[in-house]
Amino acid sequence: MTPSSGAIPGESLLNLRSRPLLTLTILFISAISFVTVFTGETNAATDVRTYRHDLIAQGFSTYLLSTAPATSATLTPRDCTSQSALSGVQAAIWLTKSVDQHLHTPAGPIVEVGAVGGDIRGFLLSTSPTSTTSWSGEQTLLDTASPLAGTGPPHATRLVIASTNPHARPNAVWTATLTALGPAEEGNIRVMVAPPAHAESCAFIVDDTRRTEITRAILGAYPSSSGYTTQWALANADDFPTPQSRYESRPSQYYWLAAAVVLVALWSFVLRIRRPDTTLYALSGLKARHLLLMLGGEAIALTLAGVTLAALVLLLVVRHGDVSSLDVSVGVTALARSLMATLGGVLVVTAATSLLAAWNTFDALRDR
Amino acid sequence: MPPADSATLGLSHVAFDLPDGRTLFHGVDLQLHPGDAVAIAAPSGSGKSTLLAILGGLLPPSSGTVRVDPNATYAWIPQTLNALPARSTLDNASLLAVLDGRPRAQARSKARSVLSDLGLQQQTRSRGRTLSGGELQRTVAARAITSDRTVILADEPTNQLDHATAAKVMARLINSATADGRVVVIVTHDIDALPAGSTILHLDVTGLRPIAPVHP
Repeated sequence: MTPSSGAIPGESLLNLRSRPLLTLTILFISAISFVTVFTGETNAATDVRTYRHDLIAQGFSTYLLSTAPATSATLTPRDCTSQSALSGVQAAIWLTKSVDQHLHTPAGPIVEVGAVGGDIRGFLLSTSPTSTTSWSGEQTLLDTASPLAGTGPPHATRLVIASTNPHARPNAVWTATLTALGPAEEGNIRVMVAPPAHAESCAFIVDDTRRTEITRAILGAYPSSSGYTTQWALANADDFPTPQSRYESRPSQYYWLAAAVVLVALWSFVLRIRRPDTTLYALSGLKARHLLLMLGGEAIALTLAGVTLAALVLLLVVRHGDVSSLDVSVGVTALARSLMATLGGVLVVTAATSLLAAWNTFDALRDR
Repeated sequence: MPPADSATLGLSHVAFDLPDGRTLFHGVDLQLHPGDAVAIAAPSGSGKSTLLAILGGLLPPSSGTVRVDPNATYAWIPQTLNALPARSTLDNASLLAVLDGRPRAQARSKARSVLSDLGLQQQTRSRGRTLSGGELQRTVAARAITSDRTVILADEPTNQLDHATAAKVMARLINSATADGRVVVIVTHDIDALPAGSTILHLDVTGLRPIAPVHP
């Protein structure tokens, strides 16, 4: 028998066209599977990112170091800022004790005002990079740079740390921003001419994946036995799963495998349905490699068509949605992994089917 | 008679023993050259299909020699009928020719002609799954005849056909031997359907021997 490989692409095409319902079903199930893989992973990445931002904004990564009451232990601004040298400490600031100040005029409302220094910009960017709180009378005001408010040159930015409770100490909830003060407020805020000799506490923004090592290092340098206390700004921070563990335990990380299993099972079912066809091609002289070329070509064409359809749908969604490129890249990785696994799986199943069909030619011809 | 070594298919003292040790047949000699068409008749269970499988290289004989032209290519008409269920009768009939590299349009043109000879001109666009047993049997025969293969091995190719249609199929099969210069071997019970002058061989345990056709 002298089969020609040149006829096989045409046969593949005609076979796909001859079963339009089956072909379209495979195509749509493939596309839906790939869309599910992508959106599952992208949404999981977005959810974890949001969760992480929320946690950090609430003080999950803000580690506070203070002196215990009635001890001789002291903290200096340098004690605080020097900890930024620790690997995993993203920003370190110092804070002084707050005092009551009248806002605007001696008859104005009283607010708690304290001094703060160190890597304030880094601290704010880490805790709340996108917040844009506006200044109000219930906010704690700090300015560590202006030599003479109201008489010196206008400052481009000043620090405003927001607190919903005007009498709360600014060590629990840190939502803040650098914002410009309007002309009406100039000259009415507390001015710190120089850093104080002592700080009441230090606040560190730490890498949330290295919380344990950093707390261990700080506790080693400032042990409780020497009169120091430490705590996370978010009181029950350790009760929350870390963003990393939450990401690592996401169910969507296995979607690529589930999709590949579904699609390979579907293709196996199709091959089972088409076993008489395969037998006939084997009887007609097609060798296992020809059958693999024909059936594998169909499987690859359908899988690629499915992923292309999915990609077109996802492109429209991503372009019209507000999705981070980082989160999209997680989805793309899962999609690529799923595509590779599916192609590998269907080719293995197709190769096995092709070999069996070629070996079973005699059974098909035998007198029954 | 052409020399034996120019035969497309040759059997010399071929025997076949069943797994239980019983000899199905022995002493089978047969030389088939391009243009030869033979029908092999025998009762059920006497080994006709086994002999066909030996001729087709699917089974080795227990003893004896099988000689096959290295350029021989086979078209089978098996008892277990097989067609692509989702494809048209025309596609099924032209399948072997297309797989062998003949241009699809050319293969379909010849297939259409053969299908017409076999009385299937109205069914060329019908799907394989919609064909009756008799139509399917003729489609499978058309597939072999349309091809350019040098040997057609047919196992009971008319057992689902009425006498008139069976005669039409047998005549077209045997005609394809002389018209296309190939070897056609037909295993059948239905020797009445064979055209006059056909070579008919009877198979029994002692081998093949020629018998006269029913209507000379």
